[in-house]
Amino acid sequence: MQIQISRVQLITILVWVVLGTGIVTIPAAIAQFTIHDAWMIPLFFLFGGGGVALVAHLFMKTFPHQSLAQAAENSLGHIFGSGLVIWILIWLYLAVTTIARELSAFATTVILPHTPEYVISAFNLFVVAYLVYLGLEVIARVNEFITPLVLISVPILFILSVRNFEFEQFLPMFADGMSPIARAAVVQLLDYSLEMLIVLQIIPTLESPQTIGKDILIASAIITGILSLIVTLTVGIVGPSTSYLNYPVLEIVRSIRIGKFIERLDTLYVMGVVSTLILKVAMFHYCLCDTWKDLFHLSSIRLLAWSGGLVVWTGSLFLFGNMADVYHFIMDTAPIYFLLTMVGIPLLLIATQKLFKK
Amino acid sequence: MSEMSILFALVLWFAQRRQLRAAPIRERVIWYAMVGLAISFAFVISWHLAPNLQPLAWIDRLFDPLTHKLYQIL
Repeated sequence: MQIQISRVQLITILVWVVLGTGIVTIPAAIAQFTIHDAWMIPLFFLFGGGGVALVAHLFMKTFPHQSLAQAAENSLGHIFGSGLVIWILIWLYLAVTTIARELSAFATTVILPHTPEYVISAFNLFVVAYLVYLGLEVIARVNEFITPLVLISVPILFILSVRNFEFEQFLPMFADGMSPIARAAVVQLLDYSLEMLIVLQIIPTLESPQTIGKDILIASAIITGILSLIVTLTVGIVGPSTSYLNYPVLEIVRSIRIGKFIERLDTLYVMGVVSTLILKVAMFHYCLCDTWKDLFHLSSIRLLAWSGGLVVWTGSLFLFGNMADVYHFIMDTAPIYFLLTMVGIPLLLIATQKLFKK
Repeated sequence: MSEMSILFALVLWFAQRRQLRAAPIRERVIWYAMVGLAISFAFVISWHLAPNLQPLAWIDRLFDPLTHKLYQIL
C-alpha cells in the first residue's frame, strides 16, 4: 500500500524536526552572542523558512513525485548521481548521530545521571529503530498524537513561569549594534531551518506534494511563534546566566513553585522534550534508511532500520566524544556544511535538469 | 560497550535471521557491513581510541574556516 502523508502530518513532522532539538539548544546558542536582543532572533527563522519553502517548491516542480536521491540519479546519471547521494548519506548520518547524542546527553543529565550514556542511548535508539521499522506513516501518526499533548502542556508551564519574568533583562536594546544579532541568527537560519529540507526525501509519500512550499511556510510560522515565546521567556527569567547553562529552558520550568503543592513540573517538560527528540531522530533515521534504499535499489528499509540503528547508536558516541564536540559541530561546522549540502545539491539538480532537459 | 554491541548484534541476527535468509544478497551484505561497522565503532570507543582518530577532522577542515569567515563578515 502506498504511504500517504497528509498536510497536517507533514506540518507536525516539520515542526518537531526543528523544535525537537531547537527547544533545547537554540536559547543557549543565541545567548552566546546576545542577551538583550535575544527576543528578536527567532523572527529571523521566517527568512530561513521562506528560503527552504522556495527550494522545496522549485524541487517539487522540477522533480514531481521523486525523492532527493532518485532525482540525483535521474538528473546526473548513475556515477555522478550516486556520488552526490553518498554525500547526502554522510550528511544524514552526521545529522542523525548529532541529534541522537543530544538526546542521550539530555536524558543522562536530567533523568539518570548515574547511568552510562551508552545504555540510555541504546534504549533511545531501540525506540527509534522500532518506529522506523514500522514505517513513515507510524512516525507521522505518533507526531499527530504528541503535538496536542505538547501544545497543551508547554504553554501552561510557560504561563506559570511568567511571574518571574523581568522586562529589564532586554534593556538596553541594540546596545552592541546589529553584529551580535546577525551572528546569533546564523545557527537557526543555516542549521535548524535547513533541517526541514529532509522532506525532499519523502516527497513520493506526500498526499499533496504540490503544496509543500505552503506547508513549509505554515510550519515556519508556527516554529517562529514557539521559538519567540521560549527565547523571550528564557532570557526574561534566567537573564545573562542563559549563556552559561546547557538547558536554560529546563531551569525556568524548574523555577515554578505555586503554593506548597505545585512544583517539580520539569517532569512534564522532560517528557515532552524526550518524546519530540525521539520523533526527530526517527524522522532523520527514516530518511537515512530511505536514501540508503534508493542508492542500492533495495526492496524495503525493514532490515536497514535495525542494523542502521545499531550504527547510529555506536556512531553517535564514536563521532562526538562529549557535548563540546556536538556544540562545536553545530556552531562552527554545520552552518556552511548544511547550506552547501541541503541547498546547494537541490539547486544543482534543478539547474542541471533545466539546462539539459530534452 | 563492546560486549553490549556484540550482544545486540546477536539478538538482531536471531530476530531477523528468516528475513535475512529471504533477502537478496545485496541486502544481506549491507546488513552485515552495518553491524560490523557498529561493532568496530563500539570497540574503538571501549579501547579509548576515538580521541586519537578524530573522525570528524576532515569535515572540520573543510567547513570550519568558511563558517568562521561568515561570522567575521557579520
